[in-house]
Amino acid sequence: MIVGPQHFLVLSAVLFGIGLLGVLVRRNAVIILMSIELMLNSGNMALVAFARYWGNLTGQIFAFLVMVVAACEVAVGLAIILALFRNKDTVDVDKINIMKW
Amino acid sequence: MPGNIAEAIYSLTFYGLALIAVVAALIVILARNVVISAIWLVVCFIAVAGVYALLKAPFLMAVQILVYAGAIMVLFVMLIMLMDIGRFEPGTAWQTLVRSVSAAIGLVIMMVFMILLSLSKRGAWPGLEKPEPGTIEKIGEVLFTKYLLPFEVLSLLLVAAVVAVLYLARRPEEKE
Repeated sequence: MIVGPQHFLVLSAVLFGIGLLGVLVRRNAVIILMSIELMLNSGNMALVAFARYWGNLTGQIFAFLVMVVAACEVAVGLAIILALFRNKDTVDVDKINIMKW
Repeated sequence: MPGNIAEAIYSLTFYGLALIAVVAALIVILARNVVISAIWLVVCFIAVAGVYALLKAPFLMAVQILVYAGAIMVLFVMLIMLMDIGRFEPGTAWQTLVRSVSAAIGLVIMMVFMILLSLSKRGAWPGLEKPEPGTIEKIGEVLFTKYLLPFEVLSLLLVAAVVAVLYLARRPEEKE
């Protein structure tokens, strides 16, 4: 069976689903960040697959830009988690509700 | 025929990498211990880098390994070592219910994605005989001409992120 674009897209959808599941199910803020990274990776994979499909570099450039944004996001996210941990002594997102009500 | 053998090797590599990536991602979200999640996240990132190689994107493969498997994972592991977050506490019944419903909805969305994508009629790659699109020279050319503005804006974003992280993660002032 020839591996075509839809194979890469299905793999990307599966990885996105796993990441979404992690964000919805887990309560540890660090694992939620890791799941967000998984979802960004799957999006990148779809972009690169489309770049290959159309023989066009734009998808790869976009994947590169997404990687830079992901690096910024993870740095800021981890700094926020560190600040929260210093103040609340937990990274459980169910216990971090000081801004909720 | 050599073409068939190359095709078979390509398929086998793809399915192997896909299996590794999916299993590693599942371990990431299911593991109780955060350190184990972090280690399997590296495995998943490296498998995705292999998929980029299959898609003829060597530049992105290198960036994936350098940025994700290198820099981002060092951040995660350093933070996990700084904090004692290995403890697991069970939630209330209501939280468990909400979580189960969320998981079901997520799975349904994933299945819909997979079915829709499998129905796609497009089989093979149309542009196989064109010159390879993934060469680093071409990426540099496009990045510094057509996409110069986004590129420069990204460097601003990086500076802003550095300042924000330094502010957020600074040592709290001593209260006198």
